[in-house]
Amino acid sequence: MTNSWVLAAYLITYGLIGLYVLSLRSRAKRLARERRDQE
Amino acid sequence: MRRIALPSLAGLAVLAGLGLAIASPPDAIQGEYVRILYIHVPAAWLAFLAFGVTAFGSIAWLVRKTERWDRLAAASAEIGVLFTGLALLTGMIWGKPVWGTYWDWLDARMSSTALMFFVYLGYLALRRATPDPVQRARRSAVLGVIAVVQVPLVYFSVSIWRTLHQGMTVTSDGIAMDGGMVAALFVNVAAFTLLYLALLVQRLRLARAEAAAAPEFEAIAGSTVSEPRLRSGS
Repeated sequence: MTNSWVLAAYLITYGLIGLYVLSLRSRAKRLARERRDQE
Repeated sequence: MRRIALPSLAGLAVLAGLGLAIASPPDAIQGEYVRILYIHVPAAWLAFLAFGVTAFGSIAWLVRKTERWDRLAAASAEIGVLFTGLALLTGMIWGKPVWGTYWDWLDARMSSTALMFFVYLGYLALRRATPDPVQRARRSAVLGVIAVVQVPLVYFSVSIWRTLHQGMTVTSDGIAMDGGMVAALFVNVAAFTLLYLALLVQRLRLARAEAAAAPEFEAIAGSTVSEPRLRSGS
């Protein structure tokens, strides 16, 4: 896995999946906060 | 317990897939570049599965008119777009050192995959642009059923049109690969499948929370439309 093209492909793949997970979590947190504020 | 089990299982499978991708032998012609196969192919296959689930959810909504089928179709389409984007990106990265180019519009597999990516982006845009939940579900269900036609078209494009992209590696006649490579490929396919399921569960949970949080008016008219002020006595 020392090849830079291979490394770039893996970093982009798992990086983007990680960012998607973080975006789902932040959207869920924002919704929960909004619901708490309304109550 | 169940909330932690699936993401943990997916994480372990990804680690196992990474281990096998590193341990697998280099290709006789492509050398180290073949290791991109272990993320490129699973991403593409899981995109096909995700769009298949979207079509299934769309048909189920058209038959049953139940909100949860619409949520399943939408959640799976979003993840399918992510996986298609990953297949395109990793394919471009693989293409540059092996074919000498990031992209070739005349290649059937690349062009049809790009078209599928943009059609499903359109599916997500259509959902955001339609405020009425019933209309949104109906329109996106129709598109979800029509758009899935692209999946076999993309899959068989390498057999129908012989262009730059290599032909199918896994066929009914067998797999034209070394045993270590096959093991690495299928463990990574399993890892991506678990990853897809974990993401789907999380996305569905968010969709349920969004539906529960939407006030009654927003659920009907959409958040971009404000409630009209009615004059008393008129």
